[in-house]
Amino acid sequence: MIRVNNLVKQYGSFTAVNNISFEVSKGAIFGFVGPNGAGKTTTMRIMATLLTATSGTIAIANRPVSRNPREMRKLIGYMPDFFGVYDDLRVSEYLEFYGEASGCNLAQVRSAIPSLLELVGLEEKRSHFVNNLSRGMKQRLCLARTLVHQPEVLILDEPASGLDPRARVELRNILKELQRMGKTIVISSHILAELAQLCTHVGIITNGVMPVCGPISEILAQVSGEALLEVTVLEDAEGARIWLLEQQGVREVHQTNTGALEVFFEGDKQAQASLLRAVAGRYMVASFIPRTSNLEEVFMQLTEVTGSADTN
Amino acid sequence: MRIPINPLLAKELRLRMRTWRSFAMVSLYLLVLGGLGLAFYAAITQSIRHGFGDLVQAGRQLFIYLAMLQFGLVFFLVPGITAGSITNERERQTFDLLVCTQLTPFGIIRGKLASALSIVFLLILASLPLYSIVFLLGGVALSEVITLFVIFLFTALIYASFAMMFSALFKRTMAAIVASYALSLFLAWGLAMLVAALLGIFYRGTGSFFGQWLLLVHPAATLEWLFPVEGGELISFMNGGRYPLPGFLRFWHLAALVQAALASLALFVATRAVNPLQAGRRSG
Repeated sequence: MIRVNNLVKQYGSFTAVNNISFEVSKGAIFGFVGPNGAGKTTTMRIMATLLTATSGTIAIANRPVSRNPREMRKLIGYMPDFFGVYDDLRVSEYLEFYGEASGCNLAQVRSAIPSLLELVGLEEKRSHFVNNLSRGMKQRLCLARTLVHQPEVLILDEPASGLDPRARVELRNILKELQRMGKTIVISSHILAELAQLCTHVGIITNGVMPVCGPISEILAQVSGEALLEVTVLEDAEGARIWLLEQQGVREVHQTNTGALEVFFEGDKQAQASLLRAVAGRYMVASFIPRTSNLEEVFMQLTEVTGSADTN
Repeated sequence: MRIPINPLLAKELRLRMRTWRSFAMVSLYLLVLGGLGLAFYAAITQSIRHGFGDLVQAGRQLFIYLAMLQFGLVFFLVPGITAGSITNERERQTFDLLVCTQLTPFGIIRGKLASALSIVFLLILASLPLYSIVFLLGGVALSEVITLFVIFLFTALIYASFAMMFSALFKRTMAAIVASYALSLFLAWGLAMLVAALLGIFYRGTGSFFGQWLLLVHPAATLEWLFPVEGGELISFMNGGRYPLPGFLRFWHLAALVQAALASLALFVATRAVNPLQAGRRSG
């Protein structure tokens, strides 16, 4: 659905985006991860036809976005990281305005508004002034605005920033619902745990380059290499720790405050199963939990590597 | 049946009319215009009572007075009304959302311009009853009042276009307002003073004076349409007593053309400036 090919964006001598390429298939939720100033917003703005690329291309539905930006905007719903609203408009008037401005017939927009408001949980607020909505509600209203012309692709730049945990959960549920409706979503966020739960694919961008991109499970496996196993035995934890250290593939074993043993283990799933069988044969094992690295660890690992490379 | 209207204009009108500011502006405008008009009316009726002039003359004088006053007010208000059109969207962070729609850059400028002019139109329309006093006294034809209103709207369009250009070029409303007023004041006062200075230095009372052509961009140049005698005399004065243009061609014709061309150029610049793909901006 979206194909980004060797994208470069330069501002004078500063390269904001440096030769990044990735693809997002139809119906996927693609998470864009990166520290501030990494080039996420620039890439998303080029995608949303708000900026031109220095070189490279972005194609949506096999059509380059730069060729006919106005036509492409029919396919795109864009939500910027910072946005304002017209406080003196009512919720329904706000959506009517954007619907009409997006080229839709007013009658069409009016008939679509109830379902849009229901989707974002604002059906009760239809006649309220935008001014009276909470930040989370405004965020959801803006999401409804991106949907008012029924785009196929949603580009959401930090849609959860500044929201409380409840509002974030609600937003996540809405996005999942949109995915079920067949929308292709590109989303950036600093809340990596949420992206991990929501996204099917992730691209990590740092200093304008994208060293890692693909399905989340593949990325975690690709970057981590080493598994962390949490083993709890009912008695003789110290003996178990010493015994585990002697096993093949075990690099390090620590005992945590809760008494569990953290085992740093290099080996595939089969090797993990063999270790479980062996440890269970000698000790009373209460739990054996393989804890793979999470997106946050991968992100830290990557950005640290790039940061130290920059320093060198 | 709904009349098709630029959605931006519809939104702007709705927002403008929903706040107390528009009503306050119209009220204040009428108060100033009506107050000064009545004061002038009282003064001329007093002078008639003392045997100076007649009612018809008084009607004419009041018309000229109201016309000049309103011209000044319109000229003064237009930059203030228009200069925030685009900068407000930027400051409110709604600009990106606007350009992501199907509205073309010119559609955005057109909607904003129409919104600003609609306020001016409302002010002019609201002042209409004041002119009924002039008709009571006589000395003024209906066609003259219509001509005056056309000149008002034309001047408003020209100066709104200049202010729109600054609004599209600048990021802050304050900067756009300052630039708009600076240009408007320069064209109204600065230019007149420049021409007067040049006249004093270079003009010897005979032949043609080049400085008169600078007045083509002066906002009051189009008033020659309404006051052909007074306007013609001024232009002829700077041309050795001879009107500088042949046949039916009048100075205000050229002035309107030049001003319309400059306003078109300003709108072209504004349209380019609101096109995000032609104005590179850095983002995070």
